[in-house]
Amino acid sequence: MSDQELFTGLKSGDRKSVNQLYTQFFPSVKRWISSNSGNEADACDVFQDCLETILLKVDTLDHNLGGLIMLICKRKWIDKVRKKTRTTKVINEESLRKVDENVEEQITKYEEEYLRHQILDEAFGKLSGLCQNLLALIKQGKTTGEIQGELSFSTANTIYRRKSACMERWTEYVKQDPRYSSIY
Amino acid sequence: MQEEEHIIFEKYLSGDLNGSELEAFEQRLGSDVEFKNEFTLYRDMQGYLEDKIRHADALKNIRSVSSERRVSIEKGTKEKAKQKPRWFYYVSTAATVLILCGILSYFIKPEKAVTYADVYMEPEWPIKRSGDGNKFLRGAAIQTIEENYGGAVNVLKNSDLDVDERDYWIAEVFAKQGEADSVLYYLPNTFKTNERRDRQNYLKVIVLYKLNRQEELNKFISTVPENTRKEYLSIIKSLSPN
Repeated sequence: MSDQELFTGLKSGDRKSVNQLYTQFFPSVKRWISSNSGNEADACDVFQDCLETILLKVDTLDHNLGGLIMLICKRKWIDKVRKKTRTTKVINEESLRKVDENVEEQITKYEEEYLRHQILDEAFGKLSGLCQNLLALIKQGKTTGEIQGELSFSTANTIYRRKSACMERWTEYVKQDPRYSSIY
Repeated sequence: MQEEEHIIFEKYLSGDLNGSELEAFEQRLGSDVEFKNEFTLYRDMQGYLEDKIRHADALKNIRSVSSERRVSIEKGTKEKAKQKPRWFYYVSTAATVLILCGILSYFIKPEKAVTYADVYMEPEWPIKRSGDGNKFLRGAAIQTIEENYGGAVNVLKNSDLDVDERDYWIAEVFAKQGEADSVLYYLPNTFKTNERRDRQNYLKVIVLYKLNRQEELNKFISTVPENTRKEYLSIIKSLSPN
């Protein structure tokens, strides 16, 4: 599969493409992380975060997919190691410095976006199932009648009151996140 | 206060603010930092919801493939720890191959192409790397990974989950073992989300197929909704005789 096919497959939710991405690019990420104070399970976590970053925040593929994955994974792992301990042997960051500044700037942007997404996602996960479903159904553009039917609300007014309460709770959870102040 | 702000933000984002209202809004955005931050957060929340809907299938796939990889890594690490000498593998592999060849040549039935193992897909256990989540589900997931299925079922039976949730996960543990009758016994008839509905329907189809209960299978497949998640729907349709 070509880079473009893999990228399109990833975005369209094609399982084969995700497996192919693992087969093609995971071994080199694993090798690099294993030689920099990590193990295979760490590599797996980083690789998953990387694919989610690409999926959510990269709208068009304008550089080599393998290179992009490797760069994002390296940066994610360096950040993780830095957070873990300051005494951990410093990773060879020279390989990152060789990268074009524009590409690096772009990746920093993707990562910031992904962090923002993660904060919102974790806070969203703390909401009740009913709140999550309600907000998603409203965003999908379902009519009040359809929502009433699907979530068994007695009146349309209940939907608006609930929506407002859910949004307030979600906002509260986001603001409670210690990373919130560094983003907003 | 927040509710009023959200209404204005919504109007602004959907282009429903006009004239003086729009002017006042944009002026406030430029001068009131707190208001601007609230707006940025609200806009990001709406963007998040859009992404969540747009990429729901793709995210599910990434997470499910990654969780399968993680399970196989954990399994591999454990197996490495109790590794046997190399000759043992040569001898046992040769013996297994010979036995399998014998069995296959006797029993092989080429007319039945699809097996339960071909269509079974692992569930996505709701456990997080951070250790958050229900401790009983986490325990059951670990026991399942370690193939201690009896242990997993016990953990679930003694859990604080509500009855349907508990029975659903017990059914998942049995589905992993291919214990079709037990899956049917525990699989709940109700569901809270469409995602769960799709998974339960899919499990019911593959176990009915395994039990060769054709008539019941056909009848059930005809009731499966068209908006079922596509990986499940393609398997369900492939098992339908129509």
